[in-house]
Amino acid sequence: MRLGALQVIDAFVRLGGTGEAAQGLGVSQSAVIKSLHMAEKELDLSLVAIVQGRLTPTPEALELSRLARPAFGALRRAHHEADMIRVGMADRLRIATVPGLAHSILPPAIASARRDLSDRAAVEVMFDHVRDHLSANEVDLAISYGPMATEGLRDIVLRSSPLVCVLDEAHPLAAHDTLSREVLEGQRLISYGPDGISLADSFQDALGRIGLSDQIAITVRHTDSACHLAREGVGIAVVDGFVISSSLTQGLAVRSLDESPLVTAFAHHRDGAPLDHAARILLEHLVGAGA
Amino acid sequence: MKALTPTHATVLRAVGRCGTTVEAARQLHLTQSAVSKIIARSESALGVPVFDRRDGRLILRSEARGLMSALGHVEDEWRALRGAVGDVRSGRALPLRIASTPSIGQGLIAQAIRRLVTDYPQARIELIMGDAPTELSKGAADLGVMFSPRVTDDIALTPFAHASIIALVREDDPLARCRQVSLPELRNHRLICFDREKSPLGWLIARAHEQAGIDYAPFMTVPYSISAAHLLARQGDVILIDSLLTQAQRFEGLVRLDVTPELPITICLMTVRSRPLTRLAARFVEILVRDRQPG
Repeated sequence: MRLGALQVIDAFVRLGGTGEAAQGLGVSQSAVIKSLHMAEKELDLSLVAIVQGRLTPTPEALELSRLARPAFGALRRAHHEADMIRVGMADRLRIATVPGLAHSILPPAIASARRDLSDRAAVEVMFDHVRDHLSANEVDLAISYGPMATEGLRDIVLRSSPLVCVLDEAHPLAAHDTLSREVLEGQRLISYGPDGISLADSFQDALGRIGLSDQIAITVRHTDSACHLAREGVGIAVVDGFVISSSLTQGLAVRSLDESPLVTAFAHHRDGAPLDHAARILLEHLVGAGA
Repeated sequence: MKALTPTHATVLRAVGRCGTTVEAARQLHLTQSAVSKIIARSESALGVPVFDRRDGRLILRSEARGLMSALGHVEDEWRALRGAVGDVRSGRALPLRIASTPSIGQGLIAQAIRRLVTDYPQARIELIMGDAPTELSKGAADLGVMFSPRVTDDIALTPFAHASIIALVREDDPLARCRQVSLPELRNHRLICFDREKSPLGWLIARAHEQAGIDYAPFMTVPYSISAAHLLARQGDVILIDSLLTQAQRFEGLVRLDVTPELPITICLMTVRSRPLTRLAARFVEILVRDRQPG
């Protein structure tokens, strides 16, 4: 099994045709077709079928392309490690987080940890697929809204906060000290959408328990986007209260939400192997700030 | 600059373990010069040196420890992929999903599957008893096999076998002494049969009744021949079903009668025109259709 042939199959499947694959790979269409036929022989699989006059990937080709994704990912990560060596970041603190927490509780903790480490620690922050990154040993520490409850991974409660509403100061509801679910009815609400990956998500859980899940009109990935949209007067952002500690809400009105359930931030690391020095210091700051 | 390949990863890992190109070459069944060339190519592909050369040994550079761990993942994933390709080839990874009715499933399909599993002993097969055109259209089945189905344009029909409508009665029924029966002779019997709207066979039998000038009024309608056969054992006088069921299965206490004039039925294979078949499905089609002469 050759990597080159697998890359051709993957392009053929992703782009939907031999012409498109050729364009994507920067080779001729005949080279793509030849490579696919050679791969069929080598792997003893049917990869190409003619459907309504067009060369189309077979279910086997689709499956192979799906199965090859982790191998392609591993190769990309190896190249990434080499890139990190080249820029002097081989020895770095690697953190995976969800966008909602990346711009609130994480930056001050990183700043404090770096101060403790005399500004020596290089840091790499990755977003999303937090559990996968951690399980694959691609990160040292992870932060998310939910316990992972996964064997081999330890969950640490960092801190909890109620949901808050962030709105333009000129918004009529900014005159209220607190906002209730009833007052928010009919308002255009902005918040995070479910990521579809996390097994547990205290943020989505809080939204659901206060009855706002179905009322979110605009979903965003990042707290910044939610705050910018609120600043533009597009609507009211419903986010976790951790955001108050950041500068994202500057010039905006932040109002507490009556009877809001708590959102909990968790840190996670692999069980068994000891945390390295920089990760341990960062974790202390994350836990300490919430204490 | 060429990209790093899984072979590069394997060689770099072996050199990392062994510390010399000679020992790595021995373990990998390569020549020492091939290993040296691969190290040079890998370092060029990665853009960083991985080893320090000291006293004839290759020592992993301290900053490359993370890289070596990442190369381990490349090796693991590549090995897993090779195994998974074997599963795809054997038909274990992509099950063959066939939507059909019980009487076709127990007869024609069961025979074809028996031949298929001699070629593909590890194949996974799902027999779905449901409305084949619907299962095909929603992507839940790869193939459908049914009696003269009504289908949409995207479904190709291939007639490949014939059967006929037969009657089944209990052995204590006076009709059981006949070998044949006509629809007018069944006029005064309570009939268990198919719904004319929901079943192609129901439509066919209803049309034959109309042509014979008889009302088609089963007192009980069922979706499948097998359901009718099981119900006849307890209540009802006669059932009209496809002949495939009695070829595949014996029913104690029930007697088969040919219906005259004959009501022929056609069994069709259904495939989705816009969806290619797996090799396993294509082989099944060959066994079911091409190796069988119609009739």
